[in-house]
Amino acid sequence: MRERQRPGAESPAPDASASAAPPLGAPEVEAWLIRYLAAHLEIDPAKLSPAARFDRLGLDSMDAIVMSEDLERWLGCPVDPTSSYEYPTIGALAAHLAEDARTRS
Amino acid sequence: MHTPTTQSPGTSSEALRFHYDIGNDFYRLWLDPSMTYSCALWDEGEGPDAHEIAQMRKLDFHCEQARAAGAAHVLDVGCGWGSLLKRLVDVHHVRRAVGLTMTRSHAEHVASFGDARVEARLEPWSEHQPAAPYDAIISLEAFEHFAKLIATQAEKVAGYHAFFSRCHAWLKPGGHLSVQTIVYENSRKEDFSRYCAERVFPDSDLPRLSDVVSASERLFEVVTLRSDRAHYVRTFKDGHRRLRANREAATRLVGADAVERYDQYCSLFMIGFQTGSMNLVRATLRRIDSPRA
Repeated sequence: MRERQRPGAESPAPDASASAAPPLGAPEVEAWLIRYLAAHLEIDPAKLSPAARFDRLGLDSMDAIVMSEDLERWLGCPVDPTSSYEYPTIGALAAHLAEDARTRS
Repeated sequence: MHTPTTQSPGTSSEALRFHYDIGNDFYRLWLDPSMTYSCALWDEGEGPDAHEIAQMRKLDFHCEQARAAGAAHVLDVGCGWGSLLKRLVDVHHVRRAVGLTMTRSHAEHVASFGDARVEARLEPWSEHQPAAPYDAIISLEAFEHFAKLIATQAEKVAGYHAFFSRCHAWLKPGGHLSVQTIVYENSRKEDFSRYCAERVFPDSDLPRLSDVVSASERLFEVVTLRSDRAHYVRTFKDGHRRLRANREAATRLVGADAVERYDQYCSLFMIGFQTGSMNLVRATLRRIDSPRA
């Protein structure tokens, strides 16, 4: 767990304005994650694929917590802080969150 | 009850109060109904609604490991809100259960049970003088407060050794000690964020499993050992969800800053146990009755 200044609520999700547009499928969540990670970790989105692993992208524990909170706000349902460790790639997390959202609706 | 007068080798009582004396009503919002503030013991397939069952299973596990059933006199070092003390006398037929705590809200809560079979003493283990030898000793996640963050490795192990020496002196021959503690696993101290050290558990440091074992050498033999970090992910997951679900009530009780601190702490610990930077150890030790010098 490296030390890092927590980005916090002053840096909302890149497309937070699109929050009221369910139902969401895995492709939409994947697209959200790619935009989010590109913005927060300053990576060229063209270099981000569904197979990209969060740990290899440099997402640390504080980043993972903030991302789970931003995902919660966007999806409108609970997202565990461990989700990006349990589902360690963009594609796996997107599939999990889409499935979770589907079973909740 | 009396106020501790001398310093134990571990975390200061002021630092302990910072974490544990924030208010019983606050902890009630996110702990299980028995207020058991340590890792539960889950069965496969159990969901969050089984949290209290898993906590009782954990208490029973330690009672069995310590061979406490039917005993006259059992000690709980770091008794928290007293769920183990009650379990010992109510379920395991222990005649007298004594708890040690450094936190007044714990001691007052146990006193509120009005049960003459249980007692929570507000004193550090380094000052404890039992009325009679104990048949069994249990300590659930107090070990994390037995070393100060600034302690050197030698000081840490010396502090843990002092604890095991006390337990050895207090236990009857052949007696068992059941310990549960968080440990550093695939990590070093410097890998951890300052966040917990400064804002959650000030003045505390974790042991490594090897520290626990080496500090107990020639006092106790290790009988069983379990590493259960996945159980702590589940325990924190439930606590974290409950804290979030009760965020408004929690904020009214302790303020937004404190709620945020506890939310972050739950999240960081969940990730630490998920990734294996930390582990949760449950160790049963048997007293060596003729220790070699």
